[in-house]
Amino acid sequence: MAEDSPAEEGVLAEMDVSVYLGNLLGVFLIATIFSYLWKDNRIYRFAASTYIGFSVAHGMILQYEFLKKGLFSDLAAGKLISIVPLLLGLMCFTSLSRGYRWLNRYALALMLGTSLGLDLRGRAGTVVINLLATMKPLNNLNNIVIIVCAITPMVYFLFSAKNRISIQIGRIGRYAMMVAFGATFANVGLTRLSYLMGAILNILRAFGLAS
Amino acid sequence: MASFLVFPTGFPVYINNYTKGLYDYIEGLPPGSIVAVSVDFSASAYDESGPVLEATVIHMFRRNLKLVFVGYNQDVPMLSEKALIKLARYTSNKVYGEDYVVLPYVVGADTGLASFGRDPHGMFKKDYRGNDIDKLPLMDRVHHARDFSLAISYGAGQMGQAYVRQWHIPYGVKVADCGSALFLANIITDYESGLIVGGAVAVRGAAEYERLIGVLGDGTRNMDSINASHLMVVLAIAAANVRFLWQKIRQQKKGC
Repeated sequence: MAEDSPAEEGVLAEMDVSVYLGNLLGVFLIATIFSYLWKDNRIYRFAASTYIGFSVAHGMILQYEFLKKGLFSDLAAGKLISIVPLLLGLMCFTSLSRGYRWLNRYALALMLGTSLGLDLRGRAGTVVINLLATMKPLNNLNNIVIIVCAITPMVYFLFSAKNRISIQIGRIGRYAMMVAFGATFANVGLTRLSYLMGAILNILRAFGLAS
Repeated sequence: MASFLVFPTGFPVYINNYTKGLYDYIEGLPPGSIVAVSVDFSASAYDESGPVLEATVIHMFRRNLKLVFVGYNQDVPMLSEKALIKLARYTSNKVYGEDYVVLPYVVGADTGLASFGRDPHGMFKKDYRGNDIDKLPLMDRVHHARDFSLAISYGAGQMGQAYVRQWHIPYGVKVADCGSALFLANIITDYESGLIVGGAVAVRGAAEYERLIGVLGDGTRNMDSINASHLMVVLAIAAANVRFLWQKIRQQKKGC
């Protein structure tokens, strides 16, 4: 704890009535989703469908709002260039028609090309900086581990020049990858556990048992 | 385990260098600096990324930094408002439009981010609350990504890396990545190579950050319970192994 800033109990708990009502509804939905642990049942399916329905509806409204505040207001203001993205967006829907599906490819090609170009612009820089960061002096164990774990997995995926030595080095790389995947999997476990704790905390708060 | 949610004890939490890196960077920013608070997770991930968002926003408000809430997920404005309601105690002396602004979400990841960085006013005409962006004093100071002193991405995905690609590499904007625990390895790599200034990762990061700023929030509560859960798992594994060994020894004795 920082010395000059004492802990403040319950500072994050000031919520209004609507949030509490939302929590109560959340408790009901959490309970119905957990009912799947007993077996697949209608209440669970109701909660799952409700979740999907709300997500889609919420997304559609926000997408419409985005178009209204951006594209449509530009068109209303007389910015005719906005017709181009509108047309490209409409062209995406031609994938629903067998006869005009080819139009969809132009819109997709433009989107993919732009994304790829922008991605590559920055990625080249990040890859070089990350590579430079792995080039460390072999003066402590951490640096040795970093270099070994950077090189050996690459040898594992070297299929063109297989020999006894490369297979042995590749085996070290395989263990390095297993450790990395294990750590990632452990972090996934931590993520799921934090979701569970959050759900329990919401239930406790809804009944006034936690601040 | 749930008892720790009601009565958090604050188990000792080691503060990682990347969490401290973010804290130190925010501490070093002069009051009035503008920070992009990029909420890039969906509602379902609030329990993991929300506590980090709340802890860092408390710190930034205390430091009198100006916050621009933005994000690349459709739930973003709603979650930003939720966090601000929860932090009402810290926003009571803050003026909307001068100290913080909630923008609508940005469509597209890298492309949206690049467009927003080049021309924020071209991308949005109105904020999430329906105000004209040109009339907000804070947004008067934001005309390019370079106007931000820091961009923090809170996400279940990899938007932090997109910020590095689209804002840090071309414009030199400092970036912090408060991503999901799933991407911890990437965040550490980016921090060690100097691409990001730091990041508080998931509930663990929130607990660390709350300790740094002296607040007892959801991060500490959840982390206490998670620590207790881990302790129970370790005890269960140990107990099962002791029983297994005990049975083996008894069988060997019977065999003799």
